[in-house]
Amino acid sequence: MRFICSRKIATIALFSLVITILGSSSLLATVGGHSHGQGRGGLSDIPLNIGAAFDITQEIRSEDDNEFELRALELNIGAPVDPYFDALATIAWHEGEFELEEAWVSAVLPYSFKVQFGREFLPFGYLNRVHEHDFPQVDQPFVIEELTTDHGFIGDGAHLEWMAPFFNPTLTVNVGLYDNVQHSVGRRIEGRPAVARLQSYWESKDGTHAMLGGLSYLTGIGNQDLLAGRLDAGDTGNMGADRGRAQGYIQSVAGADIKYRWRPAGRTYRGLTVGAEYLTVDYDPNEFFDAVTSDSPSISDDGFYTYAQWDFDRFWGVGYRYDDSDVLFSEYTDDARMTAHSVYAEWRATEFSRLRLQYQRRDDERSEDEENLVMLQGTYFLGWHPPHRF
Amino acid sequence: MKFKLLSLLMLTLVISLSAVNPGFARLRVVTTLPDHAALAEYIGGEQVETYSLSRPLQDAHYLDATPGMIVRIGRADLFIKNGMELEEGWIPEVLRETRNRAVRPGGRGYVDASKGINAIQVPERIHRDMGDVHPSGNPHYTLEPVTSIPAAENIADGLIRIDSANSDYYLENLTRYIEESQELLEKWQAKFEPHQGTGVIVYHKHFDYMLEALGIEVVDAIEPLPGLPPSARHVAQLLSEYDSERVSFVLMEPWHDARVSQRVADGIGVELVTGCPTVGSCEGADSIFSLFETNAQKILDALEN
Repeated sequence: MRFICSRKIATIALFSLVITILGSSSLLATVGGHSHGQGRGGLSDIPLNIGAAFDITQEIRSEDDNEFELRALELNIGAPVDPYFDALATIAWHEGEFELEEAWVSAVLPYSFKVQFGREFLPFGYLNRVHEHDFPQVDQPFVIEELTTDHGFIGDGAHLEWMAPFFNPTLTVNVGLYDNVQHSVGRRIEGRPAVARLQSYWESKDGTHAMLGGLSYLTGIGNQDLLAGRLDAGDTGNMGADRGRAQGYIQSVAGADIKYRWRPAGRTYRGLTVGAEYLTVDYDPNEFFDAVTSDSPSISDDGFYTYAQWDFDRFWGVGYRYDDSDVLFSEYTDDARMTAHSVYAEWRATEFSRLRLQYQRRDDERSEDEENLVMLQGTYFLGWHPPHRF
Repeated sequence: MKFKLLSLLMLTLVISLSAVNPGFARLRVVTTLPDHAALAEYIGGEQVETYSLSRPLQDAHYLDATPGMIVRIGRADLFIKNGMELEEGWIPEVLRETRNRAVRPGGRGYVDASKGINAIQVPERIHRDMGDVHPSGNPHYTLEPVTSIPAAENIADGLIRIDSANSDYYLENLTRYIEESQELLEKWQAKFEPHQGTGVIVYHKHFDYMLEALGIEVVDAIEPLPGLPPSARHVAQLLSEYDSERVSFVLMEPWHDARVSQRVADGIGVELVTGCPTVGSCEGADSIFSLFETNAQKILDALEN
């Protein structure tokens, strides 16, 4: 308790420090300058990039359970440390709690290697390394939300990345080892998770077609407790009143992802983007699971999402996403799955603000409910924002 | 003994190949824009092979960093960026990810081509209320060859830094570039002499260096502020404020909405000209000089029709 308390105080202190820096006139003049530009001035003229992202959502449900919330606030600080190291930190506010979401240092090594260490989003899948406000739709795909740790895998550890020395297609290999994996509101995956990812990118000569594909694998080393605190009452069907104690052991998580983009004549704005990601999770049930079932099977869940987005121009885009995922521990909920159809439209006013409207019809076999949901999202950036990857 | 002989033979073969094929040891130059690739080709000649990270019809303001870019830049001897915050949305990520420290800022293979450019539209203050304004001024200097002379000099400096053995060659080409660009500008300024002070409405401030050099006055923009979409109200305001006496043509880049530009041009009663924003974006615009000439000719045609 004392540890948690002191960590909170430290995080709030850090947050206050950043706000103070952001507020200082010398930096504000520069950080508030152009797009993703580097700040100059102040702090002994050391280039330092500082920015904040606001993610505000409104959910209107058919069950009259409407919700308006500041979903997340993120503060980003990043810059080269010196000719050898780069560093970035993200302090995030999610669901009423501040947490140090990312804080890592990276360094280039010989033979096309690179190492990154600290707290980081694991190099697993596609969306796992994307901040929530940069997701292609308002909400997370079910398979990410249900089968990982709410906002993906974040770990304290290090990963090594190697890029093969050829251009098109490229080949990137990541391997990482972590002391624990956790989500920003404190749900932890204990043990020594290890991750591997193989990724390739290809584009046509004129830039009309571009495609990124990857295979990821996450497994534990040592005594892992991947689901501690993951289950809430009502989540697990017939597991009974003791379900809050339920703990399982994830043996492995495997994933495949692909993203394809078509831009006629290689232009910047107008075109189609298609993405999909598949995840499968294998659990090793503990004694609690043995007690509530007759045959203690090795259980697994899987699911996927796929979406397509058409961008009319720089400002307007529309899209559709289909979700199909097991609910957590689907074996214990009669193989219940969640499916959903979502349509959405977005308006990108500038590089620094974006509005989205999304309608979703979801079918949750667990509760046998069909739900209609309308979501509004406003995303706003102050100062610097880390550049986007394909 | 056999191994030694074999090694000697291989070494001889490699040396022979490099002597026979002048491209064998060419410097790899990676640029953010096709325009700088063209400039590097002019200054570097047969000593360089170039690759542009952005395509001719892509707006370099808004690109995503891709793994392909990271590998390309990782193998470069020289990296040239446009600068003036044009590529700040994506190039810092590429430079952060690259394994090639020499092409990062401060490295000997890094060139910010905008150093020394006599920039226009440098804001006195910076505020996001002003739209997507660049603190260092208008970054589209490559549309006018004389304004681009400092960029050519920066590129020559970069090439000499990594390949001093050919410095005379690079300096000769630089001198030739300076002379040719001045001659070219004088030639076109003479052609535009009757049109001095002619007004134009642009979509975005992309061609302003060229327009200013030719004596064309940018009276307004279809974007209400840089980077913002044109509102119906702003378009209506343009139509009520300007007529064909004040504005002689409307000029846009091919990646913007032609319908809005056409509406403005039709409403005023003038021609819509779609300019070539980069080297390679139009037929015949395959160098900095031909890019300038192609755009100048398009505008002249519109003015004289």
